[in-house]
Amino acid sequence: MITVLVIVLIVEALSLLLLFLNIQIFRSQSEKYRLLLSNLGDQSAWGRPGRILIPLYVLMTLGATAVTTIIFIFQPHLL
Amino acid sequence: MTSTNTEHGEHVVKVTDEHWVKYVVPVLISIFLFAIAFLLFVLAGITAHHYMWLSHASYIAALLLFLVTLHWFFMVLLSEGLDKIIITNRRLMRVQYRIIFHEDILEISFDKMKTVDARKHGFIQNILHYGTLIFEVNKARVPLVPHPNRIAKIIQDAMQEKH
Repeated sequence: MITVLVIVLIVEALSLLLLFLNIQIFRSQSEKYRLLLSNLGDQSAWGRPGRILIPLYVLMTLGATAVTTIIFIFQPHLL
Repeated sequence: MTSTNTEHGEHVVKVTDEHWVKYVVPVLISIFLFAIAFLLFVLAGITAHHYMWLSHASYIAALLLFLVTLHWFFMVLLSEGLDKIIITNRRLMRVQYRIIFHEDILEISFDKMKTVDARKHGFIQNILHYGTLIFEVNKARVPLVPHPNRIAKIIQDAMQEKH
């Protein structure tokens, strides 16, 4: 049980790390393309890609992490 | 939306996203994988009292599948959201980016390419209004362009402005 719990927690931690990395990479890449358009004289055309997706991504990952951890620790039979 | 880069005399004529049809396949794949993950969670719950090892194994498999699918799905959506078609008075650029795996900027200069055709093939492309831009009889192709005839007209105007 403890071994499985450790595996679950490691997987959840890796998931949160991947979430953080993905968002950082996305933001830096988005900024790069915004600068490309800025050099062409129209940075407003880039808009704000990810303004809905990033909060949704964060909420879903955090929610999934919380729910799956709680279910595993407390009530696996409720599934 | 027109503005000018005074230093190089190049200005943006049009910036557009690729057509939304590109999201259909990732969404369908994700729904399928989420469904499998859900069934594995259910299996983990059903077997929790009688076969603990099976319950744990299926729980870990379900968790891994669910999280991998979740991250893959959002990586695809975020990456696709960065893809743009940028048309200036001198060139067309198509930015394609996949987080971590792939970056491709296709650049088509109007110095080298002087003709552009818009093609919509088949029922789906005609109903959903997307197609492919073809430069100089297949020297370069830009697929998934929304309203390709309108975009081709904008490009032709930009080409004529240049020459």
